[in-house]
Amino acid sequence: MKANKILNLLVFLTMTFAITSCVQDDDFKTPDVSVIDPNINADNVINFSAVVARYNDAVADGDQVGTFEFDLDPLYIEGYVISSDQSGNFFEELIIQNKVDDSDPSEDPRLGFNISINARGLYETYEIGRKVYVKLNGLAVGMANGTFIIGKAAGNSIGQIQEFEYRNIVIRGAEVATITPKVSAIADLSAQYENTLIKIEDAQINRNELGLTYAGEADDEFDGFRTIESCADGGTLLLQTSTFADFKSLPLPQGRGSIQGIFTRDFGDDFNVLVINSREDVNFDTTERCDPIVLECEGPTGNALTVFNQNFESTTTIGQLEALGWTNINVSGGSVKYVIGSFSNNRYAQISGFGSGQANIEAWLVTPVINLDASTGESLTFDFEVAFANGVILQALITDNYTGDVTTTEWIELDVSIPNTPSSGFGGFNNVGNLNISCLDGDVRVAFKYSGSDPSATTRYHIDNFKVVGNN
Amino acid sequence: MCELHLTKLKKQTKQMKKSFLIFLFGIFSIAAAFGQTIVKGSVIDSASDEPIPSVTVTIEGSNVTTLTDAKGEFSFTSDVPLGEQVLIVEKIGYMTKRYPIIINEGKTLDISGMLLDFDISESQDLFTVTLSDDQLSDDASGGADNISGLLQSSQDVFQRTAAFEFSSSFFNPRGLDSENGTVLMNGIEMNKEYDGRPQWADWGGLNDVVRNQVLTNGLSPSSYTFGGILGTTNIITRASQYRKGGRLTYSSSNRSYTNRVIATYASGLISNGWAFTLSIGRRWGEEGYQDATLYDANSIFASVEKKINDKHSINFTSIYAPNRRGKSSPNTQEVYDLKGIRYNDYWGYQDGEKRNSRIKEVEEPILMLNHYWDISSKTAINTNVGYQFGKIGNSRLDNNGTDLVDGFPEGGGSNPSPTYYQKLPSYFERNNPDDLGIAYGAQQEFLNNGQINWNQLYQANVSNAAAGGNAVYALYEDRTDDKKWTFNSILNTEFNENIQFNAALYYTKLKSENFASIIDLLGASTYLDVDSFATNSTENQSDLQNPNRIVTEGDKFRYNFNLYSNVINGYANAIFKYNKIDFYVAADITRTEYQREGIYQNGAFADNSLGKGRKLDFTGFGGKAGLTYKLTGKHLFDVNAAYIDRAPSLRNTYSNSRENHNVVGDQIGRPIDVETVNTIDASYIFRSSIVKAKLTGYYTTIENANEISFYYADGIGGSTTAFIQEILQGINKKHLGGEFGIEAQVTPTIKLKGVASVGQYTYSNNPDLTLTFEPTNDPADQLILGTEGFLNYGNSNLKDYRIAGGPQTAYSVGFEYRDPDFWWVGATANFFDNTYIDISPLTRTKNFTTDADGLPFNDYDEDLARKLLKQEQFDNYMLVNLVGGKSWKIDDYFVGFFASVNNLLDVVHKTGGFEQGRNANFRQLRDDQALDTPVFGSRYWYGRGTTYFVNVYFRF
Repeated sequence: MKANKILNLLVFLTMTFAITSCVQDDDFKTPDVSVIDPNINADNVINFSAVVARYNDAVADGDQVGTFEFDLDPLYIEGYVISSDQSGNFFEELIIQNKVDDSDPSEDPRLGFNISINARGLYETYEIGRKVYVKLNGLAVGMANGTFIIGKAAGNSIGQIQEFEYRNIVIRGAEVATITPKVSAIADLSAQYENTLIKIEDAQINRNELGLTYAGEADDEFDGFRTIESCADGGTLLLQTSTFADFKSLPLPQGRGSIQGIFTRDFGDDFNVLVINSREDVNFDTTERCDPIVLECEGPTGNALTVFNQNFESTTTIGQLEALGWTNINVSGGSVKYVIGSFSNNRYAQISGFGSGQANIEAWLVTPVINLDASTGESLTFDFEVAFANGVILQALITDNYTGDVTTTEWIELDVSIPNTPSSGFGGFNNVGNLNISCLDGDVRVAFKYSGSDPSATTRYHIDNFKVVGNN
Repeated sequence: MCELHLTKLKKQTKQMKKSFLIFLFGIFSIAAAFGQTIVKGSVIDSASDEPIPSVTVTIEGSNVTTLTDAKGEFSFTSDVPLGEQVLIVEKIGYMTKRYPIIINEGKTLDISGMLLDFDISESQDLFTVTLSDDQLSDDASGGADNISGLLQSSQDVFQRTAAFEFSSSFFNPRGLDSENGTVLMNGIEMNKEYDGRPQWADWGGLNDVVRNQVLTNGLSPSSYTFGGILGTTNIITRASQYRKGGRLTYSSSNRSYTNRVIATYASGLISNGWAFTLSIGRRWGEEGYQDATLYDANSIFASVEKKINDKHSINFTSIYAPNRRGKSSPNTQEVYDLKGIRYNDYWGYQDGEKRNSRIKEVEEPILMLNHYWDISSKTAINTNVGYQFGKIGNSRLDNNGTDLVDGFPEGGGSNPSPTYYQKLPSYFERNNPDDLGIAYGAQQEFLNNGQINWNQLYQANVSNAAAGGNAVYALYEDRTDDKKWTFNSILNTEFNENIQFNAALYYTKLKSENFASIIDLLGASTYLDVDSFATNSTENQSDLQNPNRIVTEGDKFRYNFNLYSNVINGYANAIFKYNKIDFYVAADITRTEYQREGIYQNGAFADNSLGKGRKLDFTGFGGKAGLTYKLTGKHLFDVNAAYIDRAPSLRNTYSNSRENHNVVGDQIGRPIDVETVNTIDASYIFRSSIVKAKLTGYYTTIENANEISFYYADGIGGSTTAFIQEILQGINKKHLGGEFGIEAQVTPTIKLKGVASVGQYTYSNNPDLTLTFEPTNDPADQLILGTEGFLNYGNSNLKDYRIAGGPQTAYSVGFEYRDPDFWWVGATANFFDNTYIDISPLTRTKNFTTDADGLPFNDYDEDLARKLLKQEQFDNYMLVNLVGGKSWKIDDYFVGFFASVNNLLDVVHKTGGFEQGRNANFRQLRDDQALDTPVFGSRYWYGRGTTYFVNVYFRF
């Protein structure tokens, strides 16, 4: 009996303690994380053009950045987030634009800024479409990679907004808008569209890069560049993908369709690029591509007979080559033409638009006439080397009906894959061939068409050991 | 008060009378039979008149000593000294008694009914309490393991000091951690297969009922098992062995828990042969010494024994002690300098409360059935079946939640840790030396906030979920759910009065389920179960059987596998006791079988993760022997030696069990094998009626050990972020040193104590180091990491580096004063030195000197390198501890309290730390160390400042 009483007492005491001695340990309530709009007074808000004007004024005064003083009344711009670092393709930056669509009123034109913030996971706070107020006091506007950037005033340069302060500078509004990109032809893209959301319709990845990943190739340093080409007008724009993007090692989309992204400049401010937020921005869903028609001959080929051969070893100048019947012409009116290059006792035909200052380069190198009547089963080979690639801008073409004017001749493209690498240095010679041209007869000419634009498309090419062989 | 004193006086008088009676009885009660000289008797509890088992009875100044049996009886039959002698009767928890007796040749002296008084000061309880709760069981390396639980029941002054005064400094006797000591409960081994260590939390808070312990020290033979080289402790929970009565305890402390309540009742052996004991406890607190280290533990214990007849008893024990603890972080010096030594980066405020992201939860109930069979007065067989099940969980935050975009995951959050190196001032001092305003801003942010921002995590998840995505952040736990059966049978027999023989057979079968489990999605409702670091959509899969699985709270994810272990052990032990010499020999053989079974098919190891892996088996032999030479009763010499092969623990066998079947050594083609332990020690023991002293020298080697560490490496050889396993194989260690302990009862009330431990624990070879990780597809990463999924770094030059793990030198001096009026105080001053940091083995490989092209750095400076690689030695320090208490007897009840203050002088001291593996090469380390505040400085544990513990109890 006594034991029972004691037991009861113990149980009672323990229960009492168990009930009264709770430790706050789990079962936490979800905190209220709804965003309350800061209700910024409209008088304290300036538009994006005013920020650009501040920059222009500073430049006119000989400065490199336009600063916003700390001690003035609070000054804000309001904009919408259009970039996301969720996939890692943007890093320590937030792109905002002032419009949710393609409207572009003259009193407040459509513009975008890059806000430089030294923090990761910005998308957790600033999702795409989130309205934000950027408190400009203490910040500065300048140029980085050729586009407008806003960051901390740091003398004559722009410093990053730091992790410990960015939430007090980039203040969230309550609105999350749906951003409609501006649809544009590649050719129409210009500096005013930088840092804004752009959509290119009816485009595809250049056929020569289809085997690549976004940015997971061995020679992709910091960024991978791939060529977007328009099916409508053939215009090209480079797709820039960070080697820190989650999807960098995934294959490029094979089809055709629309792509949207932030239009900006590459790191070296050398050319325009498009940067996607995620692969959802790419809708190349149509399987039928718009690749050019290439010469496709069937049937056997042979090499018993050398029909034509030029290894450029005996031509020390391009004039000597032209004297052999080759045509070297720039049809766009500039000075960029093929020359004879040499390296390590090897001569070759060479072209590069680099440093030409020409925005529109079209240069041709055409072989002398090559007669295929005395042979059968002809095929063609040559070697080429790519250097300092920033676009695939060389085509190999053939015709059996040369008019004497490259622009009026009807050319058929040869099926040659020219890589867009390496972005720096020399890639070494690649052999092309044997390309079957046995279905052609009579007088043919082969042309190398170079379509560049300095500085955005200035890849350097070397061509060597051009040869046509066949059977008797 | 007056009444109290009166009661006490009466009691004292009564006791004196009894002693006197026994004294007379000793002189006159001479047994009729001539021939053998025999001293026998029994010991009973003065309050309850119940017999007390396991009481040490010694004839002072001789080697004649024994333990009382279950009936409280003992007898000496051989080597009994004649004439006037003093019998010492002692047991933990009781006041030691000295009885004068006269022994006549050829006569039997029977001293039945010697009384022992319960030691109401219960000083030993104080430490048991504070330290076993202090078994931080924090799995982080460096400071977690604690041996005090193993030693606390020792009578030896050295071991008691090591347990009670040194353990808060993570002192390890002989530099050996707790896997070298065997903890048994009723003969069943409680050391875990996973790491070889006992999980003290499994019976935490049950101090009243786990106090009954039998310790064999060092290599001394245990009558239950072969045992580890530090010794064997057997916790006995037989219901009949508890002292009848009840007890209520309340304690308060600022060390780990804030409050503790324990209620215990033992029935003693009731007339019908039944006995039961029940104990219920609760320990709780919002915060211990470190910030936000919550404590929430309950314990329930029940033991029932049925004495079937004189030969058979059956006991059933059940223990359930769920325990939740908030962990605290090791920090860099930079962080401590800014935030103090209580700072913990694992928590943040939510809802106005401190929420700790790293909780350790242990919930492993124990069930045991024990059969005790006394075949004859000389022979007993003890057969036990144990079953333990439940879970251990360690929670943490994940910040790699992703969304599936067109079949491939994108996303991941930022590191939520407030001490992530990119948030601390040192990072900005290094990167923005010209704009220290940034560093200042970071410093202010860290000083003012500097904790996890739970609201931001919720906000990120809520906003991503609103956009149709999954959780970016998740709170999850790494779980180990064990189910373990143990079966054993232990034989004890005496061949004759000189020879005792023990043998046992053990079998244990373990199934250990290991997986990660989502606890809280922090405002989101889904999480994508992929590895966000992998670069293709096969390798990133946690389970190819269920690709791109969406998980929710409570779901298993990331990894899921079972480990199986079967251990069969046989041991035998013979003890020989003679007049001048005692000696023993013992041997055991153990066969250990391990197997892994993958439940998930990991994408990175599709062919090597699912289903059962290959069976591993290890056979280990152990042998030991020892000899005690008794020059006289005062001077004894003791020598022990052992050779032991033991299977590596599960932890040190599978190199990356979360993802694949790989076993240590697979990659470099060096088969895994048993570890070998060799040890020898020699002691001189001095015993007089006033002074007891022992001096020991020891030499221990551990050979062919493995160690695996896991960490996220941010930038191995460049930009690569990967979860890597660092495998050290074939480690040899050398432990040598000396121990000294002395205690002197200078007056009946004052005892002085002194202890010294001087050791040198070093690595004695250069083991192989391999890093393993998921094979990468990324061409840039392949340039650095290769395609095989491992890098062989060859030797790590560890030879002669000190082994981390507590001070290698420790001294203690102290006194105890026990007033006859039932109050007592004690104080000790403890001095610690030669504590070393845990070095990073990767930094000691060729990786340190090698540039990316495989050739040495062209600016490599050998003198500077030597300085950079010098092992950090922590400052020595002294801790002063005070303890005191008082107790009263009111009628049949006892009331008492005691209190202790540790680190009275509030000395700030480092107890341990480890180098960060990030600066793995010469240039990085040189540049980092050249900074005023290194960005990747070592992380440290600091000991507590001044703390208190107060305990009051009521006993009936």
